[in-house]
Amino acid sequence: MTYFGYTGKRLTVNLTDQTWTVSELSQDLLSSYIGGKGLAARILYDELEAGCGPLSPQNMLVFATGPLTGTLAPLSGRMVVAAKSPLTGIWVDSNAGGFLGPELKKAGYDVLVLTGKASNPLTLIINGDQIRFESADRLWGLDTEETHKVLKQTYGQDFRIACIGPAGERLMPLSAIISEMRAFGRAGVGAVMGSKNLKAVAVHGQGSLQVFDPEEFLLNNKEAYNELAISPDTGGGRPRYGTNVIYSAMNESGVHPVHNFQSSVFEHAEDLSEERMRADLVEKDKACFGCPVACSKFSKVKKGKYKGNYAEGPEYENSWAFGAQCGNNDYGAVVTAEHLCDLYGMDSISTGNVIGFAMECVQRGILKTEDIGYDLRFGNTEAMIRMVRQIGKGEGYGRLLGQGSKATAAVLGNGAEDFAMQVKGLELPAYDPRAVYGMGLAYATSDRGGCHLRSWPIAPEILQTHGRMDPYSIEFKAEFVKNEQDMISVVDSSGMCLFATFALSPRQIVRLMHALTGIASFLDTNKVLEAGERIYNLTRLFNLREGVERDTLPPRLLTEELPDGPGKGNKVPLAEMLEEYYLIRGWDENGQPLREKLEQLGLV
Amino acid sequence: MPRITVKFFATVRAKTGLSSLEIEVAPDLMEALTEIDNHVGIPLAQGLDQEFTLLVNGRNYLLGDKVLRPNDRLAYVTLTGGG
Repeated sequence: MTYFGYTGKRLTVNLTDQTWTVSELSQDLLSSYIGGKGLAARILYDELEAGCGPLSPQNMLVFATGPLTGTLAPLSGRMVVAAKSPLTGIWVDSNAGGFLGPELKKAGYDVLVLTGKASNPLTLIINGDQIRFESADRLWGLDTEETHKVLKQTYGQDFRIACIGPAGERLMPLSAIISEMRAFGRAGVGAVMGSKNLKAVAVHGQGSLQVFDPEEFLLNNKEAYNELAISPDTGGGRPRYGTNVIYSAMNESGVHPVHNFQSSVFEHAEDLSEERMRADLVEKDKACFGCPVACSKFSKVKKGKYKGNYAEGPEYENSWAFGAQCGNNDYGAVVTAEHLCDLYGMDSISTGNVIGFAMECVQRGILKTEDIGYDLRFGNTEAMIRMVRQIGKGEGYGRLLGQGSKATAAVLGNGAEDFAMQVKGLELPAYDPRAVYGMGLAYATSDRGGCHLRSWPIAPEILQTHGRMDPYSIEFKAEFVKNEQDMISVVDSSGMCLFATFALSPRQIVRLMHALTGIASFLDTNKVLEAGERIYNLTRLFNLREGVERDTLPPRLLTEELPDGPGKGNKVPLAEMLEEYYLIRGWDENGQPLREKLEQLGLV
Repeated sequence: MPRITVKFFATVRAKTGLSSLEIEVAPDLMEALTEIDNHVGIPLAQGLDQEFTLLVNGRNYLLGDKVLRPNDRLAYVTLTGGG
């Protein structure tokens, strides 16, 4: 059978007995689930034992590319890693760019499925159709940079690496998988890899892909590159400032959480602004595979007590997580903390969030300085850095905080649950939904917990002039969030970066997919969006099967009025938005998809 | 003539070289933009809704009455799709 765009192959590796199989992916499967997130969702729903322990050998770790991954299409370096999360106990897909996905396809595989558990630490080497396992004893304990260095020296610079750091080795629920300075960051996929005694995957390939309609594909790509170049986002702000392009705007609109969401306007925002980052820190711009935007930055601290430290970033989320969230206005400390997260292999959003949470526990006397051993108060940058290290090493209170804010609050009690800023166990990112109501609905209904990457209504609520919505109204929010969740499910399945959608329309992306693959249903934008809806319903079914908690927000966001900023006095009117959302989704009042909806989507 | 604070963010700051200014402007927002252009010496207003949008006291200008009042904050914000 001839595949266009896809390799058509799935590599399944059983780490317990170090065996592997290669199987074909059916056209029906690819047509219905596209690739990436969709493919991973179908595999995990069908093959994962319901109720299995996230850190048990029964859990599976799925690395899945999309049809556009590794092609001429712009921003096509993406892939997902999916599993049952040890942080949340539900679905997680963590998406990253870089070069691993394209290399996996060059090696001949659309998807890599890891099962079982090795008896000793291993590195999995995939060199085209040559699969082998090597002891990772000498790598165990190394940070992610050292691990990359050793593996590249051993196998060659053209091997692409994904590995865990010490945090993943210790099965810490906040741990990430790091690939060439990019992170599969959220919800503990690093711990799942660690639970399998797999330190690293090294991939190399020399294969190529066939294109269904090369002429049309080239034409569509040319159009897409042009759109990206003239967009004020992908052709203007993002290349210069990366994700920090929104920093000042978020603070100005009172969306930027301060001191663990106790307020939303940071008095020191100017110190961490996009301009300070660009002027004081950035040494060069970096791009993932096939990306003309180059939103990633390499930064180095030039002065102050953190002089000489460096990181890939800082990203907006980290400028917040290690900035306003912890009361820090020293960009050098942000860079230092972000780099430590990369080295230990930790999710920087969750790490900064949980440290801010611990700082509020100190503020309220729930945690004592004498217990922690140092003064973990808001604004103490050295204490913040010290706690990042302790979480990475599993030392002191870092061992507890590394379990995440929900678990930490449950241990501490005394009302700490009310201000643990998480949804379904996943720590919230850098947006206070009391100033942008749509974001509250997006957090509550995200399929992996408190996440901003399933829908980001802040664009039409604040930053854009088309499709505009009032941030303090519930009107249109349910429809917008539902539609964007479906659309982003498509993008996360396609192998394209979410940032492409800031310049390209769904139709443009779908045309690329069709010209590449020749799959007939990809000619029809509505059918592709229905595939996105199918994928979102499937992850919902996965979560319901795993006993997901109800869709809600931290009590602070529902009951405490925002004390400052343009949204002063607001609380999130979640119940009204949720009721409408379930109706539009075709779900019952408990968030269970109705049979008619499942039949429509072919999920019965 | 209300006296307002004008903030320039991201690409607009890079273009003007200014982070903020205090200025007396006409109450009508569109007239005020012309006056700000004259003050900074750059025709920024032509990029409205193409390159940037405006926040008036933290809210998108299209949601308000487009009338400026004393002590208002006007922010020029690059059009972006997300963080």
